This record gives sequence, C-alpha cells and structure tokens, in this order.
Amino acid sequence: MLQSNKMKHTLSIALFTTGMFFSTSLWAQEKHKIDENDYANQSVEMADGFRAEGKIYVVVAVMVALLGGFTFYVVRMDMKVAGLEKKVEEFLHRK
Amino acid sequence: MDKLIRKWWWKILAVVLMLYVVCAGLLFDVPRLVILNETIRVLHFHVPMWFGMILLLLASVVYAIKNLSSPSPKNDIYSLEFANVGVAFGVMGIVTGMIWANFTWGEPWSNDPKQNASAIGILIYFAYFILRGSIEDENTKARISAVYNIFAFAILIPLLFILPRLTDSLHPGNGGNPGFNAYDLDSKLRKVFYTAVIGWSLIGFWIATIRIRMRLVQHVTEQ
Repeated sequence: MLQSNKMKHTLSIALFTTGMFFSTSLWAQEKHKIDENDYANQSVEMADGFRAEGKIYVVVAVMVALLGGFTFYVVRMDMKVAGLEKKVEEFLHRK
Repeated sequence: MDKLIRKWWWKILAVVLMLYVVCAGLLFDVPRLVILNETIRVLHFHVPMWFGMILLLLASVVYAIKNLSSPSPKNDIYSLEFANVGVAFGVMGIVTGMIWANFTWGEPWSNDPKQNASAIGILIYFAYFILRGSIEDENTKARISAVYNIFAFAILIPLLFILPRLTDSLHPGNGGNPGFNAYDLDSKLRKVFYTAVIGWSLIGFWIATIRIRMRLVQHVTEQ
C-alpha cells in the first residue's frame, strides 16, 4: 500500500513535470524568433507607400527639430545654473 | 560626481546618441511583424523610459543610503532630485505604454500585471514626495525620507521584474521567461535600442543634475 502511494506520488510528479515541459514548449511556439524572413515578409502591412513618397522625412525633420529645440532650452538652463553657481562662489569668497 | 555634473562631454554625447536614435529609430528597417506593424519603433522610445527610471531611482537610493551613513543636505538633494526625474520618466513610460497598448492590445489599460505593478510603483514614489512635504524639520525629513526611499526601491524591483513574470503578461519577456531573450529583439533592433537606453538615461541624468545644482544654489543662498 505504502509502496503504491509512493508510486502514485512519483507518477504525479512525472506527469506534472511533463505537463510543465509541454507548456513551456507551447510558450516557445508562441514566441517568435525574429529573423531575415521577418524583414522581407510582405504580407504584413507597413507604411511602405508613406516611406516611398519620402514623407517619413517630414516626421524625422519634426522630431529632430523638437530634439534640437529642447536641447537648446536645457543647455540654456545648464548655463544659467552655472552662472548662479559662479555668483554664489564669488559671494562666498568675498565674505 | 560634483565635478562630473558640471562637465559637458557626456551631455553632448547624450544629444548625439538621441539624434541617432530619432533618425535610425524612424528610418532603419524593422522586422515586419503582425499586430505591431510600424509601431515596433515605439520600442526605442517607450522601453528606455523604464531603463532611465530604474537607473535614476537606483542613483536616488544610493544617495539615500549615503545620506543615512553620512547625513548632509547635499546627499539629500541628490537623492530627492534623482527620484523626481526618475518618477517623471516612469509617468512617461506609463503614458507612452498606454498609447502603444491601445493600438496593439486593443485598449490603453488591460490590467496587465506589469501595467498594474508599474502604476503601484509610481504611486509608492508619489507617497515619497508627500512624505517629504509633510515634515517640517530638515534633518528629520532627510532621514525619514531616506529610509522610505530604500523601502520604495526594495519593493519596486519585485513589482517590476519578479511579480509580472510569475503570471501571464501581455508584455514580452514575461510569463516565466527572462526579459532579454533571442525572441524579443534581434541584433538590428538591439543596436538602436541600446543606444536609445543610454541616450535617454543620460538625458534624464542631465535634467536631474540641473535640478540638483539649482537646489544646491538655493540651499547656499538660504543660509
């Protein structure tokens, strides 16, 4: 009796492990490894026409302009703080 | 660190990297995948928000620990402002994620474990600022908020990196699998993605250092 209980236990562990193994392999099937075929897969719709017309460069230009604008703004802030730091330093020196 | 935050080379590097990320992120070939389509490019802008947030909050907790071992207003200011910009990155991560999810998952908020966990994490950090605001005495404020900061970071890591992996998630790399595996990214995407992570993080640190320097000047003038 004890022996069969133990066997049942082993069997259930084995079943569970196999189940786990299969479920992970199912997961692996759901996961998709990106390869060269994905770059050539014409059945998936992309903004090809938009790019062919060169309109994507409008988007790039807008985003580069934004980046440039914000960079200018942050640089000015950085320089302003540097100025304040210098003033404080001078003030402390005089004291 | 005091010298480094006043240097220009890494700020220039940040801008150059971001320039590359914007151009390459929009123009380079990407894998043509169902559901994602062109929005795969959001990868270079949404995910670095979380990397930036984690790095900034890590810097914040380092200065919180420093502040407990050797209390100084400077350590407290560093800790506060790194957390501040870190949380701003987190909020932008959630907002950009919701816009992306609306297209790919059908709704902005699908109670995905990672969405919920990141929202909880951000709320925990909001409480950090409320806690700071509620304490008058500067020394007590610095000490208590440093302790809270450590707890907040300690809970943020399992919230973002462990709990979502224990259950099924719509996010790639979750549901028992590590975040970085061969299935999510390939070498072409990685090139732009890692640049984006470094670029965005440097931008975050730059903004944080300006805030830190402003607070330091303010602190000196108040005395």
